[in-house]
Amino acid sequence: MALVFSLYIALYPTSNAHAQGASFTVQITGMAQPPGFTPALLTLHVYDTVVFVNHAMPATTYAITAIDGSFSSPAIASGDQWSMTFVNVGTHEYHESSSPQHMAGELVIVSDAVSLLPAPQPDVMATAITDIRAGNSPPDVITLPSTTAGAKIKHIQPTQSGVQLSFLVLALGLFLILLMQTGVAFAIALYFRRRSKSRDLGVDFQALEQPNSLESVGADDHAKHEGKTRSILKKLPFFHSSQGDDEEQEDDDEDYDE
Amino acid sequence: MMKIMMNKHNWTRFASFVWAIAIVIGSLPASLTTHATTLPYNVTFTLNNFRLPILSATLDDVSDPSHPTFTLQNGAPLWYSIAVQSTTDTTQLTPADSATDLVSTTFFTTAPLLLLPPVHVLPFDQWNGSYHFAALKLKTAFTGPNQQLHLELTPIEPHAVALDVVDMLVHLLGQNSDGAQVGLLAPGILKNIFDSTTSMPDFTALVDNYTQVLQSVPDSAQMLAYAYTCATNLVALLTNPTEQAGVIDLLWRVQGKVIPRSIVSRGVSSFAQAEFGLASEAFIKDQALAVGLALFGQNNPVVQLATVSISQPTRTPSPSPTTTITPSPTPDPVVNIHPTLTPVQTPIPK
Repeated sequence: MALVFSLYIALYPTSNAHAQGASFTVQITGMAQPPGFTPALLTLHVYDTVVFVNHAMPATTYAITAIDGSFSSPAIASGDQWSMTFVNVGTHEYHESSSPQHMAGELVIVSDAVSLLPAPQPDVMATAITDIRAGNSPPDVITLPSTTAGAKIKHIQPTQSGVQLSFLVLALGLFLILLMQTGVAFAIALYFRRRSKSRDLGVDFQALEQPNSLESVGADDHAKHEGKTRSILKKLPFFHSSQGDDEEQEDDDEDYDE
Repeated sequence: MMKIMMNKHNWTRFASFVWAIAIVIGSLPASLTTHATTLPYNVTFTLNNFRLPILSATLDDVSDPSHPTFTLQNGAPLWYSIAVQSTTDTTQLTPADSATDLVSTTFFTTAPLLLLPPVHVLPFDQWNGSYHFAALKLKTAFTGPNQQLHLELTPIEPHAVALDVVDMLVHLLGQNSDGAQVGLLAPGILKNIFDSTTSMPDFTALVDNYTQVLQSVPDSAQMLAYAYTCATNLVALLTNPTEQAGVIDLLWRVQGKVIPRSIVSRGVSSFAQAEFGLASEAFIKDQALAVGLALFGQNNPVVQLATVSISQPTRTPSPSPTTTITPSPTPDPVVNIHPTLTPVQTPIPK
């Protein structure tokens, strides 16, 4: 229980926690297209991932090294990629290992408390371009073209990833496991409770359940034994039988008690 | 008798018709010949000081030598200012297709200042199989032989550097999408940017110091000193509440208002708590050095169009050889500039 609870607390999302951030691509354009990386300046959040993709023309293998020694890539062949996730706030200058002056870039890692400019929504961008082509400046609030009148734009709101949803699913799963364990524990406890109660009544269930013991007994003894068994069972709290049966058996029991 | 007269009449009509056709057909070569002789010149197209293929110019169409069209291509991450000079006041430079080419049309609105945008800034970049580039498609008008049009591309010019600084701000604040600065194509926005930033002292100082960084290439020590000053200006720009408002408005308009102003405001305000000073200094120095080493030279890139007379044996029996159009993409070592070049008054398209 303590382990489950501690796991739950540890994994529960806080306002600034990320299990996995967004992914951004930096194109390696090579020395023919200085400064060799696009975008050369990239600002991203902690736990975001940068993917370096080698699209240089002419095709050339490049390796990337951070000036502060924080990372160093292997040789990245043309068409290949290499990724890096940053878990601390900071800035990282990097360059191509063999051409530090001709190919350089910068990564700025900021905390989640810093709000970054989001990517524009394609439909909003298209609407703005349409306005500009018509010779107009885009309005302060861009309204998307819609079949329903009065439709307002959905402006971009930066949303968190599905991390919180996955944590909720995990928490629900842990809760179900806890519930199952509780149920199993309850069933075991109930079993032992009944067993202990039956011992208190002096009933040897093992003797009753063994068929061989009955075969060695004569017919009269068997009938007596059966009546005794029935009378004992009736005293157990969870034993139920029909009204008629009870009365009939009571008569039989009285006969045997005498 | 009547039949004979009718037959004669028909024949006469037929003969007249045939004679008219013959006159028309016979006059066609004469008219064509006359047309050919009204343009006694061809166009030469010369490039000088273009150091990398990502920055180039191509001659597109000279079927009409009086109105040749050409394209300027920029695959570099720098804005270029274009200084235009001509030998005559009548030479004009206009967008080749003002009806559909929004990019070329936009950057004629700041005439006489022309700007060549960099790659990844506007949503209309082109791809040639090797790299993306922004393009201006232009057309000029010549009226006779011995005329020149001279275009000099300058990256270290205040307006171009100001837009480089805007580009840096956009990326520093986390905008990683290509073509996000679509607002630069909106009517009047360029003039609005240049006018409004004059009242932002930190922005103006940043532009001036960034210009010094570019001019200092490849002196690393001097570049580092100016880059440090640039970083100081940048921190002040993003932390000073007064200038923050100007920056917010600037970035909101530059991105075409596709990002809500409230989000831009929150981004600028929250970025003040980030430690970006050292990052800015390093980026400015490294970027300027990497780009400058490849693109900056002793002389700026120059595109030159000139009209050259075609020799006329009937009028000028001199044995001068017939000149032909020679588009030359390779840089020539000598630049021939007429000593009386005057700035071209480019008409602002309506």
